[in-house]
Amino acid sequence: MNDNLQDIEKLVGKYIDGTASIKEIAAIHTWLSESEANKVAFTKLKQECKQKQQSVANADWLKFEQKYGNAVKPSKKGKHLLGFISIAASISLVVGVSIHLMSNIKDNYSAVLAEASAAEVPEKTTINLSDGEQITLETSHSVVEIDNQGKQILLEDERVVEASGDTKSSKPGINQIIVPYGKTAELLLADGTKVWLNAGSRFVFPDHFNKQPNREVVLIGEAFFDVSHNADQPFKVITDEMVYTVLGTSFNIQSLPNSASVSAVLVEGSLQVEKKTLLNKQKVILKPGQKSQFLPKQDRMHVTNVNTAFYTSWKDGYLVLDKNRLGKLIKQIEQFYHSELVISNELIDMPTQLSGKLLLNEDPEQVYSALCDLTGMTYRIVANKVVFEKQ
Amino acid sequence: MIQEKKIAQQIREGNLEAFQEFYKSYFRRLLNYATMFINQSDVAEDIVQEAFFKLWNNREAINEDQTLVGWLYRAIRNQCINQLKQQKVHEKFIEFASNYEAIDKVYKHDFDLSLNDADDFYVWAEIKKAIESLPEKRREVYQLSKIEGHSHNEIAKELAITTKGVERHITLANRALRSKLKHLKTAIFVLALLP
Repeated sequence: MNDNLQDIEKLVGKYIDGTASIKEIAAIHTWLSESEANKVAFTKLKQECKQKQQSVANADWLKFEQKYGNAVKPSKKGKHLLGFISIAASISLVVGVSIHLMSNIKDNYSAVLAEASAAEVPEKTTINLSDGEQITLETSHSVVEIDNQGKQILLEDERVVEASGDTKSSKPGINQIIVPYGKTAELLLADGTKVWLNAGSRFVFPDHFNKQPNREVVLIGEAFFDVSHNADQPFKVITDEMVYTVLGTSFNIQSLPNSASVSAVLVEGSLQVEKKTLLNKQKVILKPGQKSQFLPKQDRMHVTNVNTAFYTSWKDGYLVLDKNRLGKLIKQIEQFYHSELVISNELIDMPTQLSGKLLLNEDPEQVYSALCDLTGMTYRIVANKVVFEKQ
Repeated sequence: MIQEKKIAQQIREGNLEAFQEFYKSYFRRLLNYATMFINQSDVAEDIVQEAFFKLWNNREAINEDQTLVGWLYRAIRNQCINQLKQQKVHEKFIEFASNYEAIDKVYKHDFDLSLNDADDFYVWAEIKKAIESLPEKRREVYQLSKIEGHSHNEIAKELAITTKGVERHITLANRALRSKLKHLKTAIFVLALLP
């Protein structure tokens, strides 16, 4: 009888794992129909067998996700529910992302990213450490460095906080930095990679990358990366729509909320840009001097050759001016200060001789007047909008 | 059971993590089922994945009296039958068909589906009946070959007849099965299945 039970246990296990043969399932049927007690025993065995083969199950899910990708999204109802808990938002973001980094499943981010892009941007640069501690920085260009052991975080060259992750395990602490509009930040990661964060951006990063197949970070907003070379551990930037994979290179990524702009500009090295919906498998590899732009309406990627300085100069605190670029410049300024600039098409199209650099001051009004000096316009602020007019 | 209901509720509300758990729990079991049907693992996998995808897209429309996995089971079975119409029968199919009732009952018991929808295995029961109605020797040869999967040589040795004799029995068995199953509404389907 005991032998029999062990056999049945094995059979049910195989049935649950999906490895039972036709004859074995038929044998389960014979056993089930013998008595009601066996039916109860079956239910119990089912529960016990459930947790086996997790790695197979994870791989199955990954395959499914890759196939249907973005088509499988949590419903809006769920998002609303989360939206109410705005205080808990930053914490849940960190938790959600740490699960992701462990499980290596990209689309777990979808909900997290959607939440984060809807959350308020704070007034000061804020770091949320994995242990729940929150640090605010006063500077307009903050500098944060993690030592190469992943044990300590150095703030503004003076303050030191302990990283909370376990450096020996593959479970690092997951931290988040949020840069408000009008400010920037500079980050040195444990692997030596340097990241410049533009105004209004969020960046999620681990204390260290030890024992992980990839160096994974998450970005909402805009950042410039100078990735330290390590061919054995690719560096991946995960954004709402894309995954950027590099071995060692420098590039700029813009991934604004609501797909306002999803682009990357490569300065040096080589960069793989991959759309997360693998349903239509969109992947391009950029060469230096190229820009990839995702066109959501046409659901495709567009690659052009560009002057990279236009896209990367913000990290050094200024915007590059060039004639015929007034429209683009206005957009950059709007993004940086999170302001709305109103300017007529007539003025945008007007031939100007803009050239040089526009310093990104902490005070937006200084930038507006500098722009006016250069173009011969005037500006006034009407109902939170900055209206530019002919002098 | 309470746990299952909770997960079903979460899925209906659009909780992707609950769906992921659900997928991981049932994918292999259902894939095994579809593979028995189709015997082409890549096609079977597509069918099962597609069914899960449809479930997710229709999650709000699925009747609450029904378990979600029960809904999947039916969707997969119907899709497999559709697929079979375009496909030649595989060796294992008859073995599957003659055990269909038992397999179906195990899955239905597992997925808490009503055992009463008899029309479900009408076709399968007919196949079984047809096999059983063959003359004794012919049935024995047919079963040894198609259900137990022995080679013609093995059967010849076992029954002390020639290989030619084995082949003849199988040809005649197939002919008999075809004519016996001709009256079924799903005749085209069934005939396409038999070699």
